[in-house]
Amino acid sequence: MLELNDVKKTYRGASGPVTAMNGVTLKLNAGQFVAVQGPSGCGKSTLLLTAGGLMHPDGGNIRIGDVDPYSLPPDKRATFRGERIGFVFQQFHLVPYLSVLDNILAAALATGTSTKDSVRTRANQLVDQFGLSHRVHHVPNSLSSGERQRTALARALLNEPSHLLADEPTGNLDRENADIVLDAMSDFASAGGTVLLVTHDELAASRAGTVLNMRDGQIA
Amino acid sequence: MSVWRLMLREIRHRKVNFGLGVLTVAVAIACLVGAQSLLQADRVITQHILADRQAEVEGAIAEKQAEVEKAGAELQDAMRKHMLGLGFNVLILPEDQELSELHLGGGLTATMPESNVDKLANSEIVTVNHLLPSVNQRIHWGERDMDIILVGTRGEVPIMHRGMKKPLLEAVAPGKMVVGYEVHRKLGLNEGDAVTLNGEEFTVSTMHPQRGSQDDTTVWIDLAQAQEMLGLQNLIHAILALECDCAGDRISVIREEIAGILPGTQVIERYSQALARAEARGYAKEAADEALAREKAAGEERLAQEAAGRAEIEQRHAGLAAVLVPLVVGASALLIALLSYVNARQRREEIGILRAIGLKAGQIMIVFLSKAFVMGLIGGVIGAVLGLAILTFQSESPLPVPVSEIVRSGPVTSALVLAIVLAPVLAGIASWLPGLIAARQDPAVVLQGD
Repeated sequence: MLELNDVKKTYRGASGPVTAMNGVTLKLNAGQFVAVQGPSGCGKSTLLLTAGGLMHPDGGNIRIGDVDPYSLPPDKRATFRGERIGFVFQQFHLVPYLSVLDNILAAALATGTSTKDSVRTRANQLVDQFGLSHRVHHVPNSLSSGERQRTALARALLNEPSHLLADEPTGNLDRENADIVLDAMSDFASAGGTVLLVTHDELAASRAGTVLNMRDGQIA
Repeated sequence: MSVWRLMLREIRHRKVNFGLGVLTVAVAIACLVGAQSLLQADRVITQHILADRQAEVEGAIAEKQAEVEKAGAELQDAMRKHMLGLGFNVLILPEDQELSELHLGGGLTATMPESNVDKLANSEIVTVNHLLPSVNQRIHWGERDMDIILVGTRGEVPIMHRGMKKPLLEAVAPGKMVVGYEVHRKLGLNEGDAVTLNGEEFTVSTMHPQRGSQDDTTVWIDLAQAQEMLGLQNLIHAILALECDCAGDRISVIREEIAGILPGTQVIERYSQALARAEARGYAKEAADEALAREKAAGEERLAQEAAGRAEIEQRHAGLAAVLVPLVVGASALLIALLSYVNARQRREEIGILRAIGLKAGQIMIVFLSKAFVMGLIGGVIGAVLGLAILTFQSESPLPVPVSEIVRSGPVTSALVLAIVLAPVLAGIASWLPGLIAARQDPAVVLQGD
């Protein structure tokens, strides 16, 4: 479960304060796939980062399961993120000098399980699942955009999180790869996970069970 | 996958950054170890140079010492002959002998019975050790047309109550002639030559070297032959008394004793040629002693100068090292910090995502610090090797001792151990702040770039 209650976030801009979230209230249950749509600058990414325990809100509160991540000290919050939340971003954010397999396994560094056989087995399963077997020792520079995003998705899923937060995951992908990513998200939700997808893409949004619109820092 | 593997992959990915870091550490450590090695080499070279100089000085002093000892031995030998006891000589002359004649012409005219010498020898005289009767007259050597002083001597007359002593002066055998320097030089005489002196045949037995005195124009022959040639049978001109023993007012005591035995005589102190030589040897010994003292002083001064020179060199090197080493180490630390900071900036995105997916700040710090540690360790080892290699290029090559001796010495070993231990630690300290900045980086700010 992911729950946001009256969450507010304001940035200090060069021309004055910019309100990114102005009292966002939202509740996602386990197995729910929710897409948030809205124009650029409406606060979608801020919503995702705040919900993922990466950006402290100015007001309101957030609960992931029964935990308020912001009540945790920084290191525990980091571990909490590693165990409970998977992130997928438009720009993939892979570590450039690590192979596909190592990039996936990097997620296990957060949980201290990166050297466990079971984790390696799961990583290899994800490699197979996302059609990356032939690229397992390649570094990101030699991968296509689709392969990079699939690698990022595999990394997000390695620790078997309960929540998957995706920010424009199909923005740089062709339709085929976008479908692979969206299918994986749907499968994740079907398996009881919670998915929060932030996207411009109508087609992507259409794959979600619930589509919310965001405007001027608020859920419409 | 581990933090260690992450670090190694990153090193392989950013070789230039890592290589520059290693080079920086290596330069700093090379400077540190090199400076320490050179300073130690200075100390070792100084020890060797000073030991060599010390040996040279001691050799020179020993040489001088030998000279002094030789001079001393010569003096002792001379003194045994001439200066044993009190060691001064007197001349016993007839009372009516004009001393001016002796001083001006070298010859004597007044005579006394030859038996005076036997009288003296048989007396209980205690102040005289050796007696030498003689006739001394200036004559013209007709055959050679040359004025000479003819001395007739029979050698020493032993003083009976003393027993026989080793004579100080030998007698001239009948028919033999001892020739002074000027005489044999002018006449071109050689030992063994047969010569005729006023009708008498002689063989030159001895030729004296130059003495710079009346002796140079003197010819010595047997007393009896001289007496016959001069018509002075059983007469003598003088008795030379040698090695007179007495203390205090010596001459007056001797005069008193001789006057009691030989009335009608006068006694004058005769400056002894032997004494002069002994004194000369004494002076030589003094001069040698002074030379020895000078040699010692000069040697000590040379050693002191060498030591001061070496100390100045060592001080100059130490001063330079005291400035250069901290400067290079400090600059290197700054450069490592800068390289780490640049590295942290380059890795901003990856650190952001690693933080986002759950890596703790401490793990990020470990990634940075372990890289710095590896950088320091490799750079430290390379720097230590380079530092030792500096020894082979230093100015005073070839070294007087094997490099291994310098390396094994305490300060260099300490510097090596310190360098290899310290380099990773210092590299870690230099990377601490950039690592901290990276670890505290807000991942949201990085991810918002999307």
